[in-house]
Amino acid sequence: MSGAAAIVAMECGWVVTEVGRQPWVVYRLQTTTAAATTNGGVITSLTLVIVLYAVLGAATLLILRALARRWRRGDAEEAAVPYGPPDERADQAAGRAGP
Amino acid sequence: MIAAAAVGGILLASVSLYAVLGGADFGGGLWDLLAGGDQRGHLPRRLIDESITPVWEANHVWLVFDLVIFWTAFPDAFAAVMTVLALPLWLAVAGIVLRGAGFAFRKEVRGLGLQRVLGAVFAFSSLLTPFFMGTVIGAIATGQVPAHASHASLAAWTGVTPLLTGFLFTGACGYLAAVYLRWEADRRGERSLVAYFTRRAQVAAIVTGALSLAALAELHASDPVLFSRLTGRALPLVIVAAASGLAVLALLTAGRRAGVRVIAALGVAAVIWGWGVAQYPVLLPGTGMTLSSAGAPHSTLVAIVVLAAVAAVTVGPSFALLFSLHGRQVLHAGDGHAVTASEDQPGAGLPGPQRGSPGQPSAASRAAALAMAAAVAVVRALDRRRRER
Repeated sequence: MSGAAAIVAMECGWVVTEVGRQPWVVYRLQTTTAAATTNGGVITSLTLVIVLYAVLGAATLLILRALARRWRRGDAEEAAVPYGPPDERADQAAGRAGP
Repeated sequence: MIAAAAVGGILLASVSLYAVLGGADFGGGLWDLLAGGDQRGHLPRRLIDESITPVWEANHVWLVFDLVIFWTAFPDAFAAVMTVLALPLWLAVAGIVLRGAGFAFRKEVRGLGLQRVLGAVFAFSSLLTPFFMGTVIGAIATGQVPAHASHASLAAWTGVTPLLTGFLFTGACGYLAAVYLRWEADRRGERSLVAYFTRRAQVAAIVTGALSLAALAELHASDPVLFSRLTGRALPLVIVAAASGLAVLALLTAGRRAGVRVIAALGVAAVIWGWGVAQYPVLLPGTGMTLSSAGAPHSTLVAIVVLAAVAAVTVGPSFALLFSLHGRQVLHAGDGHAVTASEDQPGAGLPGPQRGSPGQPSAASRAAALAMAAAVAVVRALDRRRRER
């Protein structure tokens, strides 16, 4: 519960600061519309960013849960090298010259 | 005027630090991509993984520093660059995000297929970012960015010079990474990897040198003003860059280890400073926008200089500590060798050269070393308890 509450609290803080400042981006000196880019494609880039971060957020959650599951089961440590053979074979194959 | 020049120098120094530190991280991704299949690529990939993991977040801090200084000190130029070159900058940012995510996730997922996909994401995005940043720099240098822009422009960054600069940046990142990884392999005593990365560093040096010459030749034809500046006032830096590349090639072929990384980094930094010196004091060539006329008031520039000095004093030692610990291989949780010594002699601080060095280490560094040893001992104890459970 407290984990989710921490995230909610953080997001509420952001909402207060970013929505509460409207219509100013610099208080009483510049409005957000005046500061905004005149480039096209803002909606496109916003959509892509939201999609990308939704995917990354979901992937983070899934991986964290998988890590927790593995830790609880007491699994052996994962392969030290990405898509490499397991460690025992690797150390034999390595033939390192020193410590 | 002086404050504006000082901030310009700080910005260039920060860009150089990003290039020689973060650039090597991107280059690591390139060599990871080209390392071959599972068996053949196992050893190089392990070295790349272990070299990048402890330091990559710290290395990419410089990009944030660059951007903040750029928009605070030179807002009009920042607005123009961000508007005109929006697309390559978006692609570079996408590369940074995907690179970090791919690198972090691929170690934690199970299943070779998924690991390979994430690894490919990491490696490809490592190539994208330096390429598109190169096109941005090339576009600025050849005067493609007007002072007042309202729309992005595809033509601005797809000319021959910006594209060549993009390839040049990617090549330089691969070159730096190969040189650093060779030093790393040498220090670990992995002779096969030393030969592996020496060959790659030599190839990367030659390719990057060829790209630099091609870019210069192209500038001679298409942008004579910039070319004359580069071969005029910036000539010493161009010579330093060329000499450094040749020196690195010679040292690599002779099998020497000392100083190769520093010389390679100096060469890359010389290229960046050569660009800055050639353009000085104009920020956007082709416009009248100079360092002093890019929108920030004088007091802002002075404040930035003061803050940069404070940052150097407070952040510099932390970076030095991080790299020195990384260099002594104390930052690996699973690697028993470097940590065993500190556990056996808890009062001795870090293993290695420090005990034998002449002169007394300062009280602060001894305290830091003890704190590190204590933290490492605690982590190891927790890890043992977890495994015994």
